Amino acid sequence: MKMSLPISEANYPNPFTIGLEFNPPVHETWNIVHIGMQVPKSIQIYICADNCLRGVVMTAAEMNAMDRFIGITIEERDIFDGHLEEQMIETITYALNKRSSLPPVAIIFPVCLHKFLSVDLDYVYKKLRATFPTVVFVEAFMDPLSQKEGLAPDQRLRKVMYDSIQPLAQDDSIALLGSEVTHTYETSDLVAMAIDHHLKVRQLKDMDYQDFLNLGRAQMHICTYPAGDYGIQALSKRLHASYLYLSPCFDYKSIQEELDLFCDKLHISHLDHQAREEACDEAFSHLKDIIGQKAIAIDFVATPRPLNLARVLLEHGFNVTSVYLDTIFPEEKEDFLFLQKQFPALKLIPTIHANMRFEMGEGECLAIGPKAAYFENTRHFVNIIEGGGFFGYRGLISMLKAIEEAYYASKDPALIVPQKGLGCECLL
Amino acid sequence: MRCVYNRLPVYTGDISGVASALYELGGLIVIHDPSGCNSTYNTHDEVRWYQEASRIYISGLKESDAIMGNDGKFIDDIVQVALDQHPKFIALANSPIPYLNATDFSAICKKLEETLDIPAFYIPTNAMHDYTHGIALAFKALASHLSFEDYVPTKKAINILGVTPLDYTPSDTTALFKDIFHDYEVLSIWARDTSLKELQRSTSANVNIVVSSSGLRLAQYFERTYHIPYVLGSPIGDFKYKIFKAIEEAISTGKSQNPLLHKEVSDEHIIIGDAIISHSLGNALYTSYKMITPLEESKRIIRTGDLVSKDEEEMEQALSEAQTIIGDPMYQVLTSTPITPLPHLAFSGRLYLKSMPNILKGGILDEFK
Repeated sequence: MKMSLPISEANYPNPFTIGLEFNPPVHETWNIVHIGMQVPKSIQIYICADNCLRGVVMTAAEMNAMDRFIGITIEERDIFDGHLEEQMIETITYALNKRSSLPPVAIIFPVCLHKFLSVDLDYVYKKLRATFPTVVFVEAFMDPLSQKEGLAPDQRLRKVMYDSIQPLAQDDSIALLGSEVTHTYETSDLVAMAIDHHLKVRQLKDMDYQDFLNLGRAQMHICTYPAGDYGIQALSKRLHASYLYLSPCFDYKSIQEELDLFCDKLHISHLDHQAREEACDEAFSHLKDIIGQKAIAIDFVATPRPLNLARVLLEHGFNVTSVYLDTIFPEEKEDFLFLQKQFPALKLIPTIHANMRFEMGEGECLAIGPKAAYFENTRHFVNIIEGGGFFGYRGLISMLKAIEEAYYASKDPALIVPQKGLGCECLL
Repeated sequence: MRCVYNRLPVYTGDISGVASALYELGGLIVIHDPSGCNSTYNTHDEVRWYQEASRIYISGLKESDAIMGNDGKFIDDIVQVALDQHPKFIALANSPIPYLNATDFSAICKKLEETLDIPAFYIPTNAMHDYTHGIALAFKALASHLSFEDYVPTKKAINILGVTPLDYTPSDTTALFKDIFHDYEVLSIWARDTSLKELQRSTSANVNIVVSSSGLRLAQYFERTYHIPYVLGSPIGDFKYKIFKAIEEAISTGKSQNPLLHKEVSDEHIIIGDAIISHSLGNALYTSYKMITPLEESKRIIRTGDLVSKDEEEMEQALSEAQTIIGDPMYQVLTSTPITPLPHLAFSGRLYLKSMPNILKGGILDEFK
């Protein structure tokens, strides 16, 4: 059964009816363990059933962070006795007392079950804070039951993980937060423009705990990843910093608007857009000469703007054949409507639909993203997540270079895409 | 302390055990779960997922459906996939929230059978047990819903029970089992490299060989229902000769045999893991040894002096006197005595996949001596 759908026949925002869900062996996206480990010196404590604990503890093991992880299992008797509050307090207290030193931050993850049974978490945290006054207890959740009708656990975590940071005197710095990829001078106009105007750019990679606390000095917080928007917006409000959500788009008009907004907020001069667009045109032309009409598939893991990227590539004459996504993000609506009219044959393909279990490509495609690589069964793919830290004109040129590299280089997706947390330490 | 894992991971859970047990049999396995169960399973507990397709899915349960008891969506979604994919059976596994709200899986299975005319059965997991329990439940549920066929073996026949990649990871496992037991006709291997058709011949066997604790409940079911005796043990090293003898004894007497528990207990040599595999290894290597297991289905296969525990401190204490220890490398955090590594997929997941030995190959035992 072919699951693909011409975009002309697709409905916004849900092109597919998803019932039972398949989980493809593509695990490069960071999960809550990876995300939480970005808080330096923190530990994470999960309180859940064995089967639920298995995934998160093995995530910690594979990223060589078992020393920052505590698992607490729930048994039937804990539920039926109605003592889940006491169980949490006793076990967390015991586990913390077993450590040679107390961590500055303990991120606590109760689960769906605690919510469902109305466990009094306020009482639990009150007791823990009284017992361990030097520890900041971060109130996270691992409650996937709620994620389809509310915030996903990672969205909530991207807010509360910053709870130990307090407002400080602001300096000449901005913070790029809410995503797990790092923007660089070469790949992101945000970083390049900030540095060119003598602003320090704070990002989470390789921070020590003092650096982390100094995020409270940033005058502006910027998020370029939709799943981070909720958390970083809330953080900015709490720290009295200004906030910008900037979508990692690829079309010139949107890039110009976003970069101008960024400049206006920081009171710095605008870029010379025409010169940048000409450089991008040249890069498009160069890539076109190389890959010609090679079929391209894009997925939503590589970039939160897969339809925007497809649109831009199609408008420049590239042969984008398919986009892998399960839902259409709100910021992609305009691109979706445009593509429906201008490129109606573009295929949309789901990734979690049960029938995708038996869909594998012939390996002829060039893929942008690990899920597209898996489903297309191709050895030529751009291996990035969450936009890859690409932003603005530099981001667009970086993407085109990455496509060129993927065209030339061959790599085995079976050895790469099942690894968890692209960019994290990995013991596999 | 009970339930606290400060240094160790937990073993693979019961739901993943169900999926592993039924993976290759052509059924539709549905985990009634919002998210996570399938990802955990296929990432850490399943080596076949990338290359070998199987119909294992989650329901994607939503909060509102859980609260409002919207089982209709669950049923409709299963029916749709069954109509698309034509599975040979449907197995439903439970998870914490449907367990808490007492979803009536038996009624759902009945409804599915009425609608689809496909056997459907429930496996009562709840995510709070380990994989051995899940596999045991899955095998027993499958066996009690399977139509067994009369088959006339060409020679004395056996089934091998308790083989999944969680305990026997290397891909040449089943070929080695068949080679070791070449004097017998191997009717089925529950459940790897075996078709549902072959499993349906199981009741024509003379004896069942239980090679991991996950297979024990199934063996007892076959004994109780079809009067087939069983033998406990994995044919590791020279211990296989004890198993051969036990098989003949079981055939001649009609009584089940347990050749595993005859050696003395000592703190000098310790083996950690599944009880049947560990005892088989202990018998092959030592005159006396101690077995430590945290696994649920292993609890019934111990001697006085062996340790059944999940408690890190208790295990640490038990390891303190050992001169040799065989176990998963992740246990090294509990002892300064170097552990002879026997990586276990159900414990360390894919961390040591590249260096996983096949204990059925005789030469490997020299490394453990």
